Order: sequence, then C-alpha cells, then structure tokens
Amino acid sequence: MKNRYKLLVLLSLLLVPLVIFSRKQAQANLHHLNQFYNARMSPVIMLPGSSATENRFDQFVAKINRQSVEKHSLLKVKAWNNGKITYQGSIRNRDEQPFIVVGFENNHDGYRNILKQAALFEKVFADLQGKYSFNNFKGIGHSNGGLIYTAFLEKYFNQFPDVQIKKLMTIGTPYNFNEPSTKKQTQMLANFVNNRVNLPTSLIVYSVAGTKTYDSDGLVPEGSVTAGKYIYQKQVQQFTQITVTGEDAQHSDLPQNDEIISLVQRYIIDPPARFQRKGR
Amino acid sequence: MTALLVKYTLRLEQKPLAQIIKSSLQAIFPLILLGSFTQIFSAVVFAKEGFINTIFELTKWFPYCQQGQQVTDLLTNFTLGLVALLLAYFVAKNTLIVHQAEPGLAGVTAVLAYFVMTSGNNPSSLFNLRWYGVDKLWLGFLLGWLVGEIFLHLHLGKTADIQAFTALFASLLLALVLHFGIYLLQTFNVIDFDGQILWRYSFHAQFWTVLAYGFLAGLFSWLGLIGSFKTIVLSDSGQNLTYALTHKSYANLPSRFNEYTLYKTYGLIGGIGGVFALLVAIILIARTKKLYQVGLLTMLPTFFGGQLASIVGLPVLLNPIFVIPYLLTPVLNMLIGAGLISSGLLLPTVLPVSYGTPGLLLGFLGSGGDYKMLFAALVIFALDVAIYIPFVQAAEQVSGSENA
Repeated sequence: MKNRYKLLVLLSLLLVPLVIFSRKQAQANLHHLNQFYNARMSPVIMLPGSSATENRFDQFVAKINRQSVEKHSLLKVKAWNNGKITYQGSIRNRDEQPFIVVGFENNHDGYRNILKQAALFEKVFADLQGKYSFNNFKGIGHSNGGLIYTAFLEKYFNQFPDVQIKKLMTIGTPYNFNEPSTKKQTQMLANFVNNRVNLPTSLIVYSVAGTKTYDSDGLVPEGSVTAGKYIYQKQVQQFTQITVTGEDAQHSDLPQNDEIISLVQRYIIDPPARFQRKGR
Repeated sequence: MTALLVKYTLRLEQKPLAQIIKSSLQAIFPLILLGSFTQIFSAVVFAKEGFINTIFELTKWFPYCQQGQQVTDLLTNFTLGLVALLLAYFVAKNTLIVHQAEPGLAGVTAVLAYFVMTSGNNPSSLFNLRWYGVDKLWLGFLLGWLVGEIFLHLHLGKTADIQAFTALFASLLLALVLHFGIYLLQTFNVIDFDGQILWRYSFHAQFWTVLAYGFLAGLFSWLGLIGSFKTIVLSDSGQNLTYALTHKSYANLPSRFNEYTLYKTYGLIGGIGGVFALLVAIILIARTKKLYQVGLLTMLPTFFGGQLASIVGLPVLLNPIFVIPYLLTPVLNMLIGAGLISSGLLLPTVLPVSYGTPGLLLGFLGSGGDYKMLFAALVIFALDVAIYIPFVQAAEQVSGSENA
C-alpha cells in the first residue's frame, strides 16, 4: 500500500517541472500575442528580379521619400544559400511603413530557382515576423520577384495564418516566362494556375506591365505579364491589370518609372490619416 | 447503489455479445497501447506544436525531432492506424469461440471482407488506409460480428471445405453490398472519401449547449464512436482572445461560457470522461493485478490526451460499470467551473494552448499562469478521483465474482 502512495507522490513531483516550464512558455506566448495584436507596423516588402540584388530599389525608395512627407526607412535583407540571413540598414523607431527589400544570393532565372527563392523567402519572412511581429503587410515584386511572391503565397503563406497580406503589386512579372501567348503554358504557369485556391481571398493585386514596344518591355512579352490574370482573377478580392508606357518603361527601368511610383504611392502605401490598426 | 450496478453488470456480461466485446478489446489492447505511446510521442514531443516540445523548446536544441516524428508516425500508422481492420479479425474469431465453435477461416475472411468493403473505386485506392483506423472501430466490430455470425450459422455444403467456401463467399457478398452502400453515401455527399461525415450541426456556444456538448462527447467516446463527434460543432468566433488582447484585460469578456472556457478548461480536467481520475483512483485502491497494471501502463499516454489505451484496456469502452462516472464527471466539473466563473472567483480562460497539454494544466495555462486556476483544477480533480473510487471497487467485485 505504501508503495502506491510513494508512486503517486513521485508522479506529482514530476508535475512540478511541467508546471514551471509551461508557465514560462504561456507567459512568453501571451507577451508575443500582445505584441502581435497591437503591432502598428505594416511594412512594404519588396522582392527584386533575377540577377538583381537587395540594392535594386535604392533609387525607388529615394524617389518616393523625396516626394512624400512621410520618410520611410529602408531595411535590406539578404538570404544566403547556406541558410544565413543578413541585415543591412535599420527601421526607425516610429516608422510604421518601412520598406524591406529581400535579396537572394541565388538570384538566377528559371522555375527551379524561383521555387528555391520562395523557400528561402519563407525563412526570411519567419525571421522578420520574429523581429517585428507585424500583423499585416504589403508586397511589391519586380520581374521574377512577382513569381517568387506567387510561389510563396501558394506554398508557404499558410504557415503564417494570422498575418494578412493586404496588397500585392507585381511589376513586369513574366507569369509565362518568355512565352508571348498563353496558348502555350509553361510548367510554372500551369502550376500557379492549379494551386490558385491557396491564394488569400482578401488580397488586392495590381499587375503592372511595361511596354517599350507595343507588346513587350524589351525583355518580357506583354502576353506573359497579362497571363497573371489566369492565376489571380476570380480568386483574390481584386485584380487590376495596368499598362505603363513612355520613358522608363523598359524592363529594368520599371522600378524607377514615375507612373509606377505614383501607383505605388496611391495603391500600396497606406496614407497616414487612414492608417488602420488591424482589429477583427 | 453500486451493488445494483454490480448485479446488473454481471448479468450483462453473461451475454455472448458482451464476452465477444471483452475478449476482442483485450486482444487488440497491446496494439493500442503501443500505438498510443508512439502517437503521443509524435504529437506531443516531436511535433513542433506539441506541449512537451513547446515548453522545453525542443526544436531549438534537439536535432532529431523530424526523424523522431517520422519513426513514431510510422509505428502509429501500423498500430492505431490498423485497429479497425484487426478488430474485425478478432471479433469474427471470438464470435465463434464464444459459441464454442471452431474459428477456422472466419478471422481472415473478416479481414478480406473489410478490404472489399472499404476499397476505393479505382486501382490506386485499393487499400484505403483511412478506413482502417481508430475512428472506424465500430465498423470493424460490426463487420467482424456479421462475418462471425455467417460462419456460425451458415453450414451449406457437405464437407468442411465447402462450408468454409460458402461462408467466405457469403461474407464477401455482404462486403460488396456494404461497399456499394458506402459508395452511395459518398455520392450523396453524406460522407467523404475518408469516411468522415459531411453534415455539420452547428450550435451557438452557450451554457446549456456546452454542457450538452461535453456530455455527448463522453457518450460517443464510451460507445467507441471516436471521431464521429466532429459532426456537432460549437460555434464561437474567438472573440474572447481578440477582446482580451485589445482591451488588455480579462474582465467583461464577450463570451463567458463556450467550448474553451467551460469544456476544455473544466470538463477535461481529468481527460474525456475524467479517465485520468479513474487511473489515479485505480492506483490508489485497486487490488486486482490486471486493473492496477493496465492503469499504471496507460497513465503516461492518457495524461497527455491519448486515452484510447486506457478505455480499451481497463476497459471503460462499453463497460456499464464505469459509464456513470464517465458521463457525469465532466458535466459536474463544468457546473463547478460555471459557478466559479459566474461568481467572479475565477476569470474565463482565453489563451490557446499547445497540443497535448494535460487536462490539469489547461486552465492554468489558458489564463497565462494563474495559480488559482491550478489550485481549482487540483481540487476538482481530487473530487473526480473520489467519485471514481466506489466504481473501481464495484469493478473489482464484478471481476472477483467472475473469476470465482
């Protein structure tokens, strides 16, 4: 009989470390939830295209800051192939809409690389969540950056169920690579279309095509950019296709294009007066 | 009162069906025990959302979480994942044994019939693994019993071989009919490909509906209809957490009585049906070796929510001795909890907890570490143990009389 009581006492003692450690965890969790729910930051996260680095948008951000009262910080992140993540720059204390540019060591072209970059972006995104606990954000992808975003949203974004992506703008993104006509679908486009149900339905998407000639921005055929409609239309909340022309409509000049900058200011950046905290 | 219970149970246990149930559960118990351990290790220790994993931050310093999970999942799939199938085997066999007949091919036929019944409709889904697991226990039992009855009563043919053949044929014919029945149910969207019921009855979470929900959960569990409970849903929009975080206080929460604040926090203090309280009661006073050993062995998985092993091993499943405390202790706990919340002594809990959090700690952690909740949980748990003690004594009387 005595052995039984000893046994029960022993088991009760085992309860003690469980209580101590779980309490610590519960309080840390509570703290994190508090931070997350009351977070004021809503960054604009930008992904450059192939062969570009995290410095791609320096001119873009400088132009925007020159034209607006609200000065946005610029934080540059680099995802290395070995899994390391390095940061350059910083976010000012009260800055609610910083620009965060994520570059990849492997910035090569091709569907397989895009998938690798999307997987790396997921790691970077988790890291950023850990640091800043933002509960919503906006995305801009230039060229292949838009493809990385599409792959990320379809494959990895469900791992962050409480974070909301409010808007996405893809600039000169070749959804069908170099194919000018959607009669011929690349493997990537077919996969994107097949998995479109995973895209968040509350998202608002702007797809911007540049045209230097009548049907291409010098690198990407317009038909490839507009193929994005097969992915986003009727799945996300709103899908708008925009074509810009004129100076700086050449593929790599698009991020500096004045029209595009004004589109970003109008549609992507939240105006300070109407900035909403996320509350359900 | 317990004397009446003992008498009634002893009478029931004379019936062949009761004996079939008992011996079949006993047969699959080792499998379920192993499966419960591996399942708990997978979901609570190795999985990154698991209770042990999160509180000890295992993913940060233990490099083999993924491999551990793969190994334990593999073992779970071929133990717990096959119980319905294997139960069919044992039930068919035991149906014959209980009537003092030769089991012969009955067990194997039941397995084959189960394959036929649950097969998908194209070559790639010949073996539909999702139908062989824990939530189809009742189906395995039903088919096993039917096949057993066929072998018991169908004696067409002059030689034993022909008789076995006709019984086999009849069983597979039955399986085909049932297969078609399943196909119809799937066509009319009553169940899905994995056999989950598609109808959902949703009730707004209120005091009475939560109590009823807790009661039904216990009832379905006692009947062995595990997993069928997803049909009934308590709707609650999770407003409590949002409210608490934005107002930075736990007072005046919008929804005081919902599945989380009442059922999970209080109803599950001893696990579903208070089964962990039963185990502690057994450790305290049981004299029969079987009860004590099974109780001890199943303590670990049950503590973290894997209580199938205890309800099959003791057994509690379909056992009239334990049905009263099994159904009533959660309800009693919830009533006490409601009283504590109404009187303002304790606040409703809002924080989400990891998978596999032990029942005793649910309230404590859900409130962010309030020691008053832990104290209340321990007191309520002690009460549940006290309630179970006379029933453990009754159970020992029953097995004592049986063995005499």
